[in-house]
Amino acid sequence: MDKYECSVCGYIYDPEIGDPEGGAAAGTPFEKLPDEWVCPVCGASKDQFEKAG
Amino acid sequence: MHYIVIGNGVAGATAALNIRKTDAEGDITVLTDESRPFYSRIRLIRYLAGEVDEKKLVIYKGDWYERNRIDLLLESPVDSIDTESREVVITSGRTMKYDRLLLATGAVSFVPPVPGSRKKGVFTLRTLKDAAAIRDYAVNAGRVVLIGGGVLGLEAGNSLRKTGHPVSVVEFSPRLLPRQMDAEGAVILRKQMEDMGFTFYLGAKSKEITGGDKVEGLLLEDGREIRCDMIIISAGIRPNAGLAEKLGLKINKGLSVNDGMETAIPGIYAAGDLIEHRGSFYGIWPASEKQGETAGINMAGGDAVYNGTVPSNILKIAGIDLCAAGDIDPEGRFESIVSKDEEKYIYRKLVISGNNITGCILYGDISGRKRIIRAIDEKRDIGGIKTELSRWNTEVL
Repeated sequence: MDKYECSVCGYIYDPEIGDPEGGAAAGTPFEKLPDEWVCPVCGASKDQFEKAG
Repeated sequence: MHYIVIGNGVAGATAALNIRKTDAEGDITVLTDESRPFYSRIRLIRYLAGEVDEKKLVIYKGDWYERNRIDLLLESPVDSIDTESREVVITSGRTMKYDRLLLATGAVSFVPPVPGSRKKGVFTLRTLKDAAAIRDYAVNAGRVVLIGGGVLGLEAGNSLRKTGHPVSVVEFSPRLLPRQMDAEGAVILRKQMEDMGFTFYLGAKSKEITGGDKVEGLLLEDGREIRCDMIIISAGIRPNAGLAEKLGLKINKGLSVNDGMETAIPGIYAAGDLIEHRGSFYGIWPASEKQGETAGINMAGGDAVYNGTVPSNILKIAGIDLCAAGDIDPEGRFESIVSKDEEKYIYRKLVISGNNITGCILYGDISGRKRIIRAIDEKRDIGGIKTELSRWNTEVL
């Protein structure tokens, strides 16, 4: 599973950790996050993420 | 149909994209006075610390504008707008016709009237150009003074501390982060940042920036002088409302718009840090993004409504997590549940009014923040779970 980076603030979404606070259990791939999901750090939308690496 | 967007920050760029998503045919022109495509203002702090380069700051890279058939004109500040002929006049003298226009001119740094603020070595931080100028000047500078102990001031100070500069912060309020912290929490924050190497002057008013051509120090009202080579003023932002004012539009905290992001002039919309919505001026990324989306959809004939934004983002203060929401009750007028650990630099407070949580400060440990913010939003009745909450069990929310 790929990690994704927020191009606004640099936060990295790691699917192995997920974002439990934001409603994404550990193991949720980035692609499966709901459209309303936003960056937990800066609040930017999912559109602003790009594959990390 | 020709759409013109003035401003290429998050509101302008998001609006342009949403116009394109809604109208595949129309012509879209984005005008900006900046020299780079849409970049992350939030990351300028990291750029200042030398942790990311200019390329990394740019969000819509390469052929993004071409792919979306958006005509981006860099370094093209707008001089005036003629609403009768529906024309925009760019400073170069060129004019352009519009059918729908978006004002997304953002905000500018507020510079308080301190004598000497035009000296070399005095900066504000808002744009990439500002950040580049600070970086260049800092190479040959030693001690740095930040005027303003809010989020931006502490963050910029931390970046320069990382690059080896001794940093002092001068704050008018008796506590740091006056908008996000109460007195008790701010003491812990101060201690933590002093341990990192910061020097603080709280409850201090700047009287004059001293030196000849160049900055040599900052004189305070109480007579103390802080010697330094550069000063960064971070005293908040104000809407960049020059164009809107020229149109005769009324500015309060910002330019007033309705829920559809329309101004009082037909065909002219506004979004982002320029505006106020239902009496609120946000000045935060997620609000501007949502407003830009709403404006873009509506300009292209769609029907979108902006209902306001509940700020729930995490602030990173010198790497420390902080989340403040709702009424932080700095004067301690309400009931509260506080959990603190000065050794570990943790301070958490829930503000309670009757049977509702009305605000929170989460510093150093932000776990449970989504639950807490949701409970604030929903005005959840916590009458039956106060005991659990007083043990800081947020699972019950």
